[in-house]
Amino acid sequence: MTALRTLLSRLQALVRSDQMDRDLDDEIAGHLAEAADEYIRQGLSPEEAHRAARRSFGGVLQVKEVHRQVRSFGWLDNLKRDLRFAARILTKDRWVTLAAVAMLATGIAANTTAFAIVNTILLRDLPFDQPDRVVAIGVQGRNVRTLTGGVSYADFRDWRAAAKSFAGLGAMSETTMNVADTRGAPERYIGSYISANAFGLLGQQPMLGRDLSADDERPAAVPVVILGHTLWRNRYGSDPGVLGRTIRVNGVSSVVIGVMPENFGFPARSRLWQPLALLPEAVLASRGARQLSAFGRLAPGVGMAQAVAELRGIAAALAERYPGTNRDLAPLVAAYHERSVGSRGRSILPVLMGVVACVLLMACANVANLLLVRAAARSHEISIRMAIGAGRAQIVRQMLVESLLLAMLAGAAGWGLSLFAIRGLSGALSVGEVSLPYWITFTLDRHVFAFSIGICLATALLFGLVPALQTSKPGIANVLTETGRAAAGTVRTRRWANGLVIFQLALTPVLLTGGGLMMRGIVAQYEMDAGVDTGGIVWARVDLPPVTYPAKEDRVRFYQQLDERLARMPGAVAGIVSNTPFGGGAARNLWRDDEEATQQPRRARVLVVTTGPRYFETFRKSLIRGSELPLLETQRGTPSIILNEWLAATVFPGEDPIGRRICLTAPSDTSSRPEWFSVAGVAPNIRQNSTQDASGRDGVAFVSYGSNPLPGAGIVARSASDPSGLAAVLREQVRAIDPDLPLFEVMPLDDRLASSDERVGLRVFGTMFVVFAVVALLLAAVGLYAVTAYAAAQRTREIGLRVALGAQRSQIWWLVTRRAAWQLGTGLSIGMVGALGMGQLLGSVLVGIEATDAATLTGVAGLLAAVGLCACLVPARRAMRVDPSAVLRSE
Amino acid sequence: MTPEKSDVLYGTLGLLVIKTLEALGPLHGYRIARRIEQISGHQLALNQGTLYPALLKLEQTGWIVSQWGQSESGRRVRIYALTRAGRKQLDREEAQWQRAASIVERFLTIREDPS
Repeated sequence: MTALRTLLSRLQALVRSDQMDRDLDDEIAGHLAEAADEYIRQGLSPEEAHRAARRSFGGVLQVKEVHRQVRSFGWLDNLKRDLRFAARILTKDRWVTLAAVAMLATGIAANTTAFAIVNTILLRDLPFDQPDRVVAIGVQGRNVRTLTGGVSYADFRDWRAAAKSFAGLGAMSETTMNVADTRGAPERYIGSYISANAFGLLGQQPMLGRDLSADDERPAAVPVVILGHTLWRNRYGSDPGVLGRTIRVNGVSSVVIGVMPENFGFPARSRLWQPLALLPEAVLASRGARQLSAFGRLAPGVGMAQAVAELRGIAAALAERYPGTNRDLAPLVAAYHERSVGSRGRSILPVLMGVVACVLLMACANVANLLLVRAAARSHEISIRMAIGAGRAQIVRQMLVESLLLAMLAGAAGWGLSLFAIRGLSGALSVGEVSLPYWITFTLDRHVFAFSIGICLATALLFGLVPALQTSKPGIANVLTETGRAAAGTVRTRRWANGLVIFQLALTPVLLTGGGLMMRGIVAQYEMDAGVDTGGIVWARVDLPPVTYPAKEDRVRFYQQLDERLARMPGAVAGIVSNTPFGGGAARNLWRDDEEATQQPRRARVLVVTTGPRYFETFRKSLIRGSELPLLETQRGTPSIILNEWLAATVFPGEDPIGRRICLTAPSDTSSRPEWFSVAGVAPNIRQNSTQDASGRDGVAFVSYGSNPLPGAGIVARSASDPSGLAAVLREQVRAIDPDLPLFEVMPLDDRLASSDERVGLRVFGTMFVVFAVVALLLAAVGLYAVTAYAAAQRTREIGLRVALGAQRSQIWWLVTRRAAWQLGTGLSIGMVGALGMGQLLGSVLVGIEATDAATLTGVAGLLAAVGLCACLVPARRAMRVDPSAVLRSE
Repeated sequence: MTPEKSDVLYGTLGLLVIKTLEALGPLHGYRIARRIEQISGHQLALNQGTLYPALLKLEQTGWIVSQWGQSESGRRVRIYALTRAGRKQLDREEAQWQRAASIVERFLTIREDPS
């Protein structure tokens, strides 16, 4: 009760602090006057009486101080005072404050942004009900290890029937779907075939209509479709009346039964969903057709290990029963988010965090130096405060409050900066076909905010503690007795400052190397010679839905018609191809006709690209041997294949490859049969592989759409005159064959190449690394400059004396730069070791660059040395211009 | 200088104040200070100023209340008065003090009988 009353009256006092101060003043004045009156009555003179009254009262100031402590929360009152004082100091040294805030804000913004990325990709909960119970299931075997795909429908059904440790198992296949109806042109969207229980397992219900039911999954069921919110809004104007309407999805008339809520795109970016039953018959029937991904929700109380063990057992039983398709395949179970974030992403993020932490450390070091210098200048003020009774704790507290205020200002600025950066990042990552799952939207949420606040507090301690402890060392009291210049603290201060500079100089090469390697990686990727001129080429794609084009013959017929139309296009050359340059191909193992084909790969992997006629012609290339493959070969029998130059030379060294037979097997599809081809030509090297070394060694083989009618094709076209009209012409050609088929990804080929996941990722993250490296370099230069300049300024008198005594300019130069040179040397030596480590770390991410790239390392060392020298050039020149007479006279 | 003045025993200033207020009724700060000095026979070295934080503490706990009033000489002063809670507290503290004092007294007066 009393405690509560005390608390209340203290709270009240907090608000009425000024009023209570005035009351106390009045009360003390009254007391003193009463006392003086009494002394006067006792016969003292008024003057003596007043003095006596004060004496018996004691220290008025102390009483007020104690009164204030008792009155309210002492620490709060102190904090208020410290804050007010700190604000005054910060506004007084406006430029120092501005510089410190700018440097810290950069560091804090870098950290906040990097953490926002990590938070979004790795830490944030997936938007599922109890997300930690949801697991992704893929397969791993001798040649495969994947969480996306790898599961066949037959396997999935057996798993689902047998597994007890899951509350449910679902499966899906994300693909592209062509949507057509009576309104407008057909459009192509990313869509998924899903098991009926999929949304239920996630705990997600449609916002309109109903979810899929088990009935929809039956083979003979009426085809149904659930629309995503975006598709519903964009194509159907958010009309609820769309429910029950029939639209054509991949040529199948399907009834719209539901609409999913906004921002839902399971499994990654789907816009519409259909039951698994609508997958082509071949996919559903064949145990070897491993096109599905599976996921599951663990049953209550079941751990991951238990579930894995059970699935393994089921898979082993299946492998025994179906050795042809299931031998050596085991299920791979992982947390769901591992499905969407590749190992590359997971390995680059910690590196990124490390880099930004370094940037922040460097900013802290600079600010600490700045404060050390200022503290040295303030040593007079501080020693006076200590002399009149301030304890060391009070001084340290006061200075830490200053640091805190500084950090908070920087934090606010940094938050603004990272809002900006995150917006830029989202923009940069939302180009083209970048396949980030739907829940990855980069935002600054409360976790990031908490992190940011934490960073601010940590930095305040980091850069504030050393100067605070330094300046409040008891020895500093000597300052009062000295002239206030070569103060006792400055030697120590300088030692700290030098240490901090070396620390910065050591960190810089590490970051610069990271940035440099990243930049070289980006450049290398852009400069990587495709082997062909991709400029002026228009790119477009078309996907043939398996339902309307179920059989090989249907697809061949389509490609035949398309090819005829492309051939007849006036004023343009155009051909079809499965993959763009750098766009990969189907990975196959290759055997010569005189080897025995096994599942074991013995030669380098081959990327198989399927083309139509005129593909090379469109790129203005001609074959080295033979001629381009016709769509349909006149002779039945072994289909023809064209090897690229490198492959021909590797597989048939010193032999004539033409007419030889080779065998290809698919490493990931265990049920596929070896396919035989006969070599009909040798093509110039066109790079298909973008991730291997830049040496140009990738083996590519070209087969014809006639022999390998894939369910989709790209079109490359070069117009003799104006490329801008080409897109419309291409669209017309495709619609003339099948009005339900949309043409998509229509853009210049160069744009298509630039927007590949690979390149966008490297560009975005690479640019970040480069920016951070440049910031680090600037910070290090500023740090070195500041310390050298400060040291030189401190020694102005000494320099003046030396000049007066006949020192040469070169000696003065050396005097000033000697320490800087030593720091630079030490920092660089330590830093280069770290730089090598950085190279190793980035080795997994970089394309076409050796992790210990000599050019980058020497470049970094040279750059840092040059910048470092420039940083001490200014103070050195200033020192050389010192006028001895002026200096000595000023004493 | 008066020889051998004792410092006010730590924590007893509050008791002295409320006892004074009980005995003399509402008083202002200077009168309280003088009264304590007089009663102690000028044996206590009381910095009169230290009274004020003590008064504040007592007021915060609700044992005394204060309001602005006039001194005998017509000056504007703050006058402190004991509350009912303060009176109860005084009874409690008096009893406690008496007991503590008697224990200490007994310790100091014990003579070991040489037997």
